[in-house]
Amino acid sequence: MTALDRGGPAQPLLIARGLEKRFPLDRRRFVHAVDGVSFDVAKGETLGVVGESGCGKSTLARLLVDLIAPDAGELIFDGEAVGAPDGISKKALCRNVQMVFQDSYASLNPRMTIEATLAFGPRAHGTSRAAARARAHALLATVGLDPARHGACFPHMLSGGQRQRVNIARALSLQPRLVIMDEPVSALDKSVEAQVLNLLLDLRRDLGLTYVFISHDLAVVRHVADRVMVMYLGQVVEIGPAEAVYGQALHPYTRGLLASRLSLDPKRRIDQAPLAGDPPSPVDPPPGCRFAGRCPYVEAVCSERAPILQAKSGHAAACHMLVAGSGHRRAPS
Amino acid sequence: MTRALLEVRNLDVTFTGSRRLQAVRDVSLSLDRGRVLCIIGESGSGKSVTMQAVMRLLPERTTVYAGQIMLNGRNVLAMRPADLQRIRGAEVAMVFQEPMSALDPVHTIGQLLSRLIARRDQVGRQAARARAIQLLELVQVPDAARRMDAYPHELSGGLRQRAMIALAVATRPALLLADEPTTALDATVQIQVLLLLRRLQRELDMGLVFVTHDLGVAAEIADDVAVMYAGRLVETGPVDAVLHAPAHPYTAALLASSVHGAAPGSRLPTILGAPPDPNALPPGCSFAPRCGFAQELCGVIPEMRMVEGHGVRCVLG
Repeated sequence: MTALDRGGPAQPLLIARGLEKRFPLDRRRFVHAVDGVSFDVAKGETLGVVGESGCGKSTLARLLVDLIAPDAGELIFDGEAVGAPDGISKKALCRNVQMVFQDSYASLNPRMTIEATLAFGPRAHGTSRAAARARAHALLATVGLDPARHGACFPHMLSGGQRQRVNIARALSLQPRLVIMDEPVSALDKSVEAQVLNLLLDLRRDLGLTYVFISHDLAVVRHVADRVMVMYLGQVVEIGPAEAVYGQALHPYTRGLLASRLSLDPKRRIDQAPLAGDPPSPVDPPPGCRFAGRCPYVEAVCSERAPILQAKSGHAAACHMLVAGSGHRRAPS
Repeated sequence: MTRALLEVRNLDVTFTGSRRLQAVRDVSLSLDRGRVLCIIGESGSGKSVTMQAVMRLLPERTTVYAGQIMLNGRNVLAMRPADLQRIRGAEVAMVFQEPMSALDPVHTIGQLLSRLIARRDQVGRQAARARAIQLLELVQVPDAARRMDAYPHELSGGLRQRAMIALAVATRPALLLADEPTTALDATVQIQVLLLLRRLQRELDMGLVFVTHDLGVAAEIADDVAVMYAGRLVETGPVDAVLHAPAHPYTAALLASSVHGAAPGSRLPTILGAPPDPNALPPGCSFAPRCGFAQELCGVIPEMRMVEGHGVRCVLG
């Protein structure tokens, strides 16, 4: 059942091009949840996605696993267009791309035992009953649970950390190549968070997995991600290697977000909030740069034209201050 | 010696509903005016229950208390309902985690605030409204006069939390209780609200008890911290001392397992297992089954001892 590497090591495992998703509020107004998002995920890497509530990161996750259909844009999985006549079918995509959700309880069927939950996917994809059961037991062992003890349990009998291990096991049950993690540790207690992060890093190494790791927690993303994509109001404002984004952020939003992180040192307290205001509503955003309303460097050009993501050796940001001749006074001449 | 604003002595809280459950065990705390105390703990550690006990917000029929909660020298646990009603708001007020469920959705922010002010200050509607606008300005709600007519659902999360803070401080309480008030907020908004609470606490000279699971929040706002585990206090002391030189193995392990400052991709030190079921606590120290230093001595419940300025409930050190 293991999917093969078809495109070779240089072919990105996933390419998203111009993804768009709008949700209607009424006849005239739309929530622009994801608005023109493009990125690649290389084989074996972890792409971290950060942003605040309403930035579209969870909608993006659902688009990537085909839980919802995009209004525009395309997905290319290992060189094959998703849903195209000559591309990869949605069922095959489902085998290759799986997801772990934030709420470990809501994402498990409360009336199915853990073993039945884990065997369900393989059964649906044609595995025999006995083999699916054996697979369920092997998966439990993989995620550090005891097949004999936990297999017969129902979700409510497990702790939050154990339930999240079950969700991870279920995501692995079809031997996917790409796993989308949507806030996988956000609902866990701090003493359990480290256990689950260690497990995710071990699984990535042992099974050769690729992750898209979505979180609002910048420290967690710094820990797991090779590259980081920062989203604001449905758009990508910055993307690049984790070290570069955290070390030399280009976009004023990324810098504000990073400066809002709390240290563990009472001697290094923050005196002034790096950014004012809340993230605005994603309902019918104004033209121009979507961050303009909160940006400390806003100028006339920012509300006139939307900046375009500017690549700079794999590290890119969408800001008029980075583009020569953009009309912003801080732009390079 | 001056009297502490809040003094909790040997507090036990037991729920006696369909299942008996002791949520808080032998907690003693004290807080002076003008100070910030953070109660740190994981879910089920008893931190929120301790705080709700201070205002006696837990269901009276199914909650049994033992110990004392002295607020301005009077025992909250011995008060009659009429006395409780008098101190709530006037002496102690609370800010909750979820402003959407804590604010009445059928009234505008202005109605909620003006009504409270009109009742307390015995003033007319116009005067109450003017003071309500001042309060919203105090908590830095931009365009305060216009927001008065907004319903809670029309505000962003950050503004809603500011509105709730305005309601809590409207009556100028000496003690403000805050139960994870920034947990549901985005990072850039969380720091704004933390800075606001710190400023108000100083300007209004309040005592602030702040419950959180986030060590970073404690580092940002606390003067003192109290770490809870399985219903008991395990460590207390000045925030700097506790975070830089934790004396209890649980606090130390919690800090060590944090992704803060860890090398990216490195293996994190972890705490084995999960917090115990409050109905089946291990005998002796509750942390012993997960503790790397556990020994035979840990079979008895350790007393709180003072070690270099910290209170520590551990036989080691």
